[in-house]
Amino acid sequence: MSSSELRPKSLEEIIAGCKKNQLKAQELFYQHFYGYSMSICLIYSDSKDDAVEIMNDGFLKIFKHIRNQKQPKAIKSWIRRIMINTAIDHYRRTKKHRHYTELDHTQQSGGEGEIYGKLAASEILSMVQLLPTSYRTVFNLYVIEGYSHKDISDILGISEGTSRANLSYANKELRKMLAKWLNIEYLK
Amino acid sequence: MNDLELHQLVRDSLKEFKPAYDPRNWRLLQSRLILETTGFPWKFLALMVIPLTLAGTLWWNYQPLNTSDVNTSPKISKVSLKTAHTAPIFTPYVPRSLKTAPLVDIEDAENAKEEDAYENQHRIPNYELGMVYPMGPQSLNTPAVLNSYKTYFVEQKIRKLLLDRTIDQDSTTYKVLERNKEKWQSAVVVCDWTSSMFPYGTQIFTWLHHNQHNEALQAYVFFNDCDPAGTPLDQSSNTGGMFFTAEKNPQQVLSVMIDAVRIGAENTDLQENDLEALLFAAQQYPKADELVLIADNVSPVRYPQLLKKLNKPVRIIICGSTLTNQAIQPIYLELAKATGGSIHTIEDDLIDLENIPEGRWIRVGDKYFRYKKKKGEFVLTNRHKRPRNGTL
Repeated sequence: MSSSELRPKSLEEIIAGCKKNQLKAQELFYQHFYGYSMSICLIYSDSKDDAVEIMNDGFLKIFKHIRNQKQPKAIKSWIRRIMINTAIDHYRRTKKHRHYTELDHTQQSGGEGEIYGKLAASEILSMVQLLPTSYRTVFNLYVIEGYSHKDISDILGISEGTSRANLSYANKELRKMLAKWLNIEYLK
Repeated sequence: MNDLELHQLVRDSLKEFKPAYDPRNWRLLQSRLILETTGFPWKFLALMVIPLTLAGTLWWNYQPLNTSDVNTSPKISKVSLKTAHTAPIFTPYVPRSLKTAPLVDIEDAENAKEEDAYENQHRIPNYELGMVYPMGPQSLNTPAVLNSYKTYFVEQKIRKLLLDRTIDQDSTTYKVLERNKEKWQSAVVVCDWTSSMFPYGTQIFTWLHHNQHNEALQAYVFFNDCDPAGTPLDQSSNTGGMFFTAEKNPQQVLSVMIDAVRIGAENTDLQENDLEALLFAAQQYPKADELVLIADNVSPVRYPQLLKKLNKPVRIIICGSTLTNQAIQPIYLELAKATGGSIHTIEDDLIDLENIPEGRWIRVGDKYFRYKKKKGEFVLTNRHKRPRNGTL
């Protein structure tokens, strides 16, 4: 089945179709929220493959529980919540297989303030993805989702001190990567 | 830039970020969805089928021997020697674009069209690239390189791998170089520097770090065969995608390796240009006594007819063989024989290729093979360890 065969429908119709487990409606729903969900999953994972895995796990949960969703207007925030929770589950599942690795150290360059503005989303994203998983998860929950360290410590099962330290390391590493990026920019 | 500014920058950059739809990911989910939503007890069925299949296999393999068959003479079917000899040992993977037979149903064709359209839409435009580094160092700064997320990501990973001097579980390159550093004189290393070979190529850097004053290796050529957008550079006479240095300083070698990664990160071409690279190395370093090829035993070699043009001994380090049951690709054996070179694997050096003794053991990757003179090839054994007298 190709996407061209799918006739356009309103979001309400698509959701109604998903509630009836219609595959076409589910594909349209997936297509509609792909960019939104993928942008969330990408910042919580260190590769595109991982992000796709998390996103598809999230969509499975969504299709399983969508019939209980009474407010179509709140669907976007509901999807966001599910994607983040799935990413956190993924973090917990793979926690014991991870170990901290020191990132490549590069020299700081000065006068960089204005050039940062030129960075594309994909570049920032690739830098966030290069962070070790524990730093990245804390960074995202704090910076993107706006959680407090107390909330993060509850969600991830770590102490508040660890959460603060991870955020501080993440900031430090991101600054290093930005400085490295500046060196590349100067080559132009 | 303080923490707040940094966080604001990240938030602002990612606010409008929306990756484009990729229909392949839907297909991944689709099959899982069907399993989940049909309500059919697939898991129960799988639980039933697996033990039954296992039991059936065991019964089939270990059923008692029918003694009445013992006295009957075995059936021998006539096999043409020519056919048997030329039968392929393994079937190489052929990309979809090279297959001509229309053995796809309409729905698959639709999907393939959709995928191709998606890939074409997202392909980075082709840029004219200086064929041989450093003729075109400006090519490293083309938008195709600088704006590619994949290139940046791969470069970071390889840089880290190199700087950590990490040696993969399969340390073939390092061990062969270490074993032969006193035997080889004035050699040029020619390394397949495509994605699957990164773990083997990075070992050169580690070895160089430990052997900076060794005179065995005089220069390094890293080759891949694509432009920054991943389009294969297809030329039989005009060699491309070559990155070389005669520096002894590991940092200099590192920068050449990183440049090569940045150009070749998008490479997905299966055939490799080993022979073009060897010819290039021989031409670039005419004073070199021998060439050391770090070769991918899994990928086919392009333009085998170029073999005749080589006139320096080629020492071939066989890497990546754990994916196949073939000890050494025939083209590498032919290359080493034709140039008076040798074959090297993680534990073994085959110097006299014309007179390999019967039963000679070699280890390639994590598999052990024995030489069968009758077949003229190494045959896979089921051993996971070299036998005590297995040095033969």
